[in-house]
Amino acid sequence: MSVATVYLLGLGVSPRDHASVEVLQAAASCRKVLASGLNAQDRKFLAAFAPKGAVTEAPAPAAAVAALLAEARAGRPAALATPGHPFYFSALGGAVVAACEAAGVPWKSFGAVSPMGVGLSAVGATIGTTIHGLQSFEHAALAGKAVTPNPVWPLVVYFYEPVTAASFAAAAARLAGFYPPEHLVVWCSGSAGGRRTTVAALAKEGASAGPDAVLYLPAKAKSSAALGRTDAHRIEGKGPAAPAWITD
Amino acid sequence: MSDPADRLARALARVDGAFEGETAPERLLLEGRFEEAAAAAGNDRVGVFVRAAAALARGDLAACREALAGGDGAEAHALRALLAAKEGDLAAAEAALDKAAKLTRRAWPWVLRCGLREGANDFGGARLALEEALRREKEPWLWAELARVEERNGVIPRALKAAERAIAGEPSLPHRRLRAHLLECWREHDEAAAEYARALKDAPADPGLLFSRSRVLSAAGRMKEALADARAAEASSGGDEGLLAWRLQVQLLAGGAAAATAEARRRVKDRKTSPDLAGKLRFLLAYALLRARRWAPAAEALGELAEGLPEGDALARRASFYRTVALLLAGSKVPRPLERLLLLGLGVDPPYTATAAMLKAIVGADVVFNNVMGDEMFEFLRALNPVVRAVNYHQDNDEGRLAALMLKECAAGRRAAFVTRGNAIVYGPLGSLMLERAKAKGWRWRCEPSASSWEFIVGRQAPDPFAGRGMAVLDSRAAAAGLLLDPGLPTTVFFNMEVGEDAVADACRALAGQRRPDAPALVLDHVVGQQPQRWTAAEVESRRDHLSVSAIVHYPAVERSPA
Repeated sequence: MSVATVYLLGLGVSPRDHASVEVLQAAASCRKVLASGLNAQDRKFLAAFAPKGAVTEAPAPAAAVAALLAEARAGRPAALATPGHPFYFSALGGAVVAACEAAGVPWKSFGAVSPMGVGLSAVGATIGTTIHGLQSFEHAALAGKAVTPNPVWPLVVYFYEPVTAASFAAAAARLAGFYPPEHLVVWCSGSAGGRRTTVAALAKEGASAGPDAVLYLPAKAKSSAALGRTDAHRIEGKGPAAPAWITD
Repeated sequence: MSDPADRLARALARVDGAFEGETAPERLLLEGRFEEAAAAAGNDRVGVFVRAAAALARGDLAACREALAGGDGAEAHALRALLAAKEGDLAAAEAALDKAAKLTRRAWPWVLRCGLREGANDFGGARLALEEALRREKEPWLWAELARVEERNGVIPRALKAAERAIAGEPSLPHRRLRAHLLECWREHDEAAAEYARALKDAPADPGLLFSRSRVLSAAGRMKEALADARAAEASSGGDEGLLAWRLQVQLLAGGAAAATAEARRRVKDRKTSPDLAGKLRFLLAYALLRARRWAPAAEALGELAEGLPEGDALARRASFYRTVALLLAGSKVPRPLERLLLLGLGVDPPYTATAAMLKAIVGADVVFNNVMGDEMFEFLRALNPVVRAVNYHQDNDEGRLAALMLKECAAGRRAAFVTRGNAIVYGPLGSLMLERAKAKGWRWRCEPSASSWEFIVGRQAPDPFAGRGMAVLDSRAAAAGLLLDPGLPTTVFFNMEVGEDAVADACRALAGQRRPDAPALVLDHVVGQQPQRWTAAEVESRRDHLSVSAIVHYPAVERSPA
């Protein structure tokens, strides 16, 4: 019996909108799809494409890895499905790949809509035309100082997990070290999508955030002088002003 | 044409065209009859070459090595290069070709070098080798080779120029077919149809050419002409089932859905119809259901079709894809978009990377403008929307004209969808211009996020242990100016080679300076879907002449991030 493939399926920031056809096709080929981090509606959505009963909640990481490998060794494709992409949603995706490679089990993954893509699309900032760099931070990595923003470029912050007031406030506090209090923040997804606020007001807004929360902060400084390019673009909506060089 | 290595080079490089004046063993070699070639070869220089080449071609490396013993001509070095390449030692192969190139002023050692580099996915290096070959000989077949390599580099304008040089030197059918194919890739469907017409003067009943012209006419929206060619191709093929299915598909799209589906049903029921054709026709019937927006029955029909076909079958994959599309649309009501302008970048590998929201937007639009090449895309879009028009955006100051064309629809109150590859506003001046104009007009707009280059790279390669921190993208112009990002994030850099040699070198140095020189760099030097080459950060600078004009380099995250 030949060993089948283990798929790592990223459904994007908002799975019911961002799941791609190729990802859902892969799910359809699996009799076991372990869903990690997907809410009930997203699991139901995914289940419509997979064989009946295939989509189940992922067990603890070690058991999930074992289950996926056992299925593949039995000659049946299997999948791990997460919001975003399994490689940056949690450590489970990396653990599955490491186990597959150690066991000689083939694995395959696909691209998935990221918070960065959501941020760009929501504000209509255009890489290569109006901006020439973009950074995207998972909230805990930002708050925990694992990474450092460069405010000359726009910045995206995302959550991918139920947001607590404390976790939101911690991310907001780190941002406050790099941006003035009046600096614009745009909510890019979920029910708060499109709303504008400021860095100063951000800490109090955690209650608005769902697990697909994505925030976009325009650059603090203008980069066009150094690049000989334009930073000018519009950020629409009512609320706090965008930096002066951005046509508001 | 007396040099056998020259002929082998051409054969290896898959060059079309006649080879005149071969001796019998060489002809056998070129025809792939290796044992017969070796048996027929004499003991002279040519015979030694043929025996060694035949041994190499049939994979008998020891026999090849033995045949080459003592040979020190250019051909012997060339074969040693091929032998080394087969054994995976590319450095030795390049060194052997250096020796061959010193012993002859002919172009062929450089053509072999091109082939070796292509085999290693180094298409930039392959281009450099062919350019050297063309400095030695300006033969039409070398221009055709360059066109092919430039196409693989994703630089279609250069490929077209090379194909035009090939035609100028030798206006043959293969060269015309090559140019027509490139024009099709460049989405210049009318001009491609004209080139196929020129090719058809040499081969008026060639079903392949008629089919190709039918395909580009279909893409151009010239459906009556496309149908006429489809009928002619079918008739001249003597009953080719694929061409019959194509004719019915064009007929369906050209306003003859009732007749096309009636014929398809009749043929499916006919016992004389082969299972292969019956499958194609069942797909056509399901496709007609999609066109009628009967998503649930279409999904059911496509699911049944896919299940009845062997796993891995091309039609099964196509049916499975469309089944998923139909299920996505059947699962919920497809609302009419609120926005007048829909910017839909279908990701790196359209249509497979299209998202659920994009499918609904395409269905809800009043008119869809397609900027993605290939008949597959038209088939996909026309399954979802009856009004699909081609746009051919080339980034050569054509943004204004095309934006005006599409935004005219918005101005008239219609919902226009611009469908392109990747993300519509990432390195997409046309999408950006339309977006700015829509904002200025106060029109509602939507840009759907897509799985674009950086998401594709991060998603397809082995997981980055620090990907959980986030990710970054950067333009090489910014890197050259020292406007960098935290190297603790996986960073995708879009290179722009038009800024000049010094600026590119500055960017490479700045990025390497943030990391160790031996830090890994995944180089996607021609198309984002390729298997990346694994260089070091320092090699990105030293080998930058191998990069294409729009190369992408992905730097995995470094462990320690500056505080």
